[in-house]
Amino acid sequence: MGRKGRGGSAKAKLPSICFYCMREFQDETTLVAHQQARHFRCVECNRKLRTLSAMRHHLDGVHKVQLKRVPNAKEGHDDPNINCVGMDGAPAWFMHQLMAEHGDPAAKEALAAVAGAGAAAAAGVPVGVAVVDPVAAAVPGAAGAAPGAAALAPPGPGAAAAAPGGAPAGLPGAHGGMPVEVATAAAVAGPSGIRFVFTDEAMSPEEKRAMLPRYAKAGIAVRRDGLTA
Amino acid sequence: MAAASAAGAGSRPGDVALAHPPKDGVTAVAFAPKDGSDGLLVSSWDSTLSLHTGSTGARLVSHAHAAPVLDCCWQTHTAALTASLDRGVRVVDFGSATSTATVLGYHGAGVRCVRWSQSHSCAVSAGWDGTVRVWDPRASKQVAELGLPSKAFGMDVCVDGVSSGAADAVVVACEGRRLVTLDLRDTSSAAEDREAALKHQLRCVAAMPGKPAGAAAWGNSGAPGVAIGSIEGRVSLEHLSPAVTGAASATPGFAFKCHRRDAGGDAGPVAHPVNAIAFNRRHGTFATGGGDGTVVLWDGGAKKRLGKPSAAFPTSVSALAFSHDSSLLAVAVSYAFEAGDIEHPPDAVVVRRLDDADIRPRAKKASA
Repeated sequence: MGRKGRGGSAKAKLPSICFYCMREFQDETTLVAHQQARHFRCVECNRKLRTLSAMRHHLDGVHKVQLKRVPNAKEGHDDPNINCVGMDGAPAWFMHQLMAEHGDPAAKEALAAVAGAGAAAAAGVPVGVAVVDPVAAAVPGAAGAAPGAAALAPPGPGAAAAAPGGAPAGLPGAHGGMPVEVATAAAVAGPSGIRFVFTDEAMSPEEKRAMLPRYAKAGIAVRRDGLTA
Repeated sequence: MAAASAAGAGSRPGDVALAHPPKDGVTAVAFAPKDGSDGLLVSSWDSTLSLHTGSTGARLVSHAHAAPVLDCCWQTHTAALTASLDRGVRVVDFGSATSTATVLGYHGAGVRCVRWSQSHSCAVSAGWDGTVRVWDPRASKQVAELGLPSKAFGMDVCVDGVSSGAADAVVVACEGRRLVTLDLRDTSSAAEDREAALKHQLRCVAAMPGKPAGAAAWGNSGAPGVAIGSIEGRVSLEHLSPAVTGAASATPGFAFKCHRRDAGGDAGPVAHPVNAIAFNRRHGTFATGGGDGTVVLWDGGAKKRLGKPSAAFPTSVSALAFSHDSSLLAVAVSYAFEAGDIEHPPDAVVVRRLDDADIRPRAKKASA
């Protein structure tokens, strides 16, 4: 079982995560061994190479093959030009996302702002915010940090242009209704892509059940915020 | 005697299904805290608290409340505490011919959890009004109240968890993934209030049994703590911080994935909520029950699963309880509304007899 940063401290050490397949490891050494076995292994002759670029050279020189995708890597993480050994060489947007998820509050807000601004410009609903955990924390930060976020290096070229224009229009409009909508509708897939049967972060299944008419009695109807009517 | 088809799918021979299970969802089950006793409390959305004999499945008493009962636990071996959607915390006494209920008091909204602390002789409850309250049953009144950062979703009492055994600690899991720890000696403020290691809504909390449980100290992990389940098919074992326990240094916890099933087709795996966690006192190992209808046994100290997950029951497992001598495991097979209001199999409670081999810890591997 992988070991995550401790829940207790806000300054938890960044966990060792393989950029290519997002798996977590106890330490850098195990992570590198995993990368060599899973991602830097020649598909033709099974030889383990030390780095991704070494494997590309090997494939090119020995087997006369061009590497298109990193073997056993996830979508979006399989660019053969990104030579990542351990956590060295992982792209900035990935490191930033990691830091946001593991305790840096300023990074968390900024990431939410950029993701929210980019998606808001594109789709009108800040779906991207759901990728970073609890919505409630991200929303106030997103609205405030959006103007500053445009100065950060955003993940995609489109977001940079869209952020200054899109942010004022997209975020304030959606702000009021966001906590409820994003929590239920947008959390279709967790960060790792696995689907959840129950997705609401703000209400427990028991509260939702208690809202059904058959359990409503005078004085004990449950509102969305859990207080009695 | 026991119904022949004990809850259908998922049952093993020898499982006893309660003859008169509640007519609606089961919220909690609890065995009497007395060795040799198999009295089983069952609380339900049908507004009843009922008492059954675990070994035969016969129902002894059923006490009606005015509203669904969301949690129950034993106070003495003839009286129980209930937490109800009508905001009330009650003591239900089974000692006399007819069961009687006394109201201890009310929260501001539905009461989600209730527990009894033997060493402090008080009841503790936590609810959707964002408060945790302490009650004195002899005076039938509230003794203390503490505001939580948000609604409470789960709670348990860590017996002897504070200051190397001087007092009990109450751990409450709240909305927003917060964990609040309360020292029962001083309820004016929280002893600790922090984020849990889990990334999604917390669902249930179970305290590791303490030193009195023979060699199985603290769930085999060496320090007081709790197991927390989330809606994401993940459980985290976390320890109370040294500031609370009086230990020299913090013991690291860990989290693991569970109750995730392949839904078939190319849709990939689906994560089910972990609805219940229960520790047994004999070995300190624990069981988890999930929305996928399986019960899995784990050894927290060796970080291993014990055996295979159980064959899936017809619907979610909503509650679990070990008997006091750890020979029986009560499994509430009852749809917990993880996927909204849909048709579901009838609610049932199955009592399974466990062999010692099922719950015995595995030896730790010498090398990681």
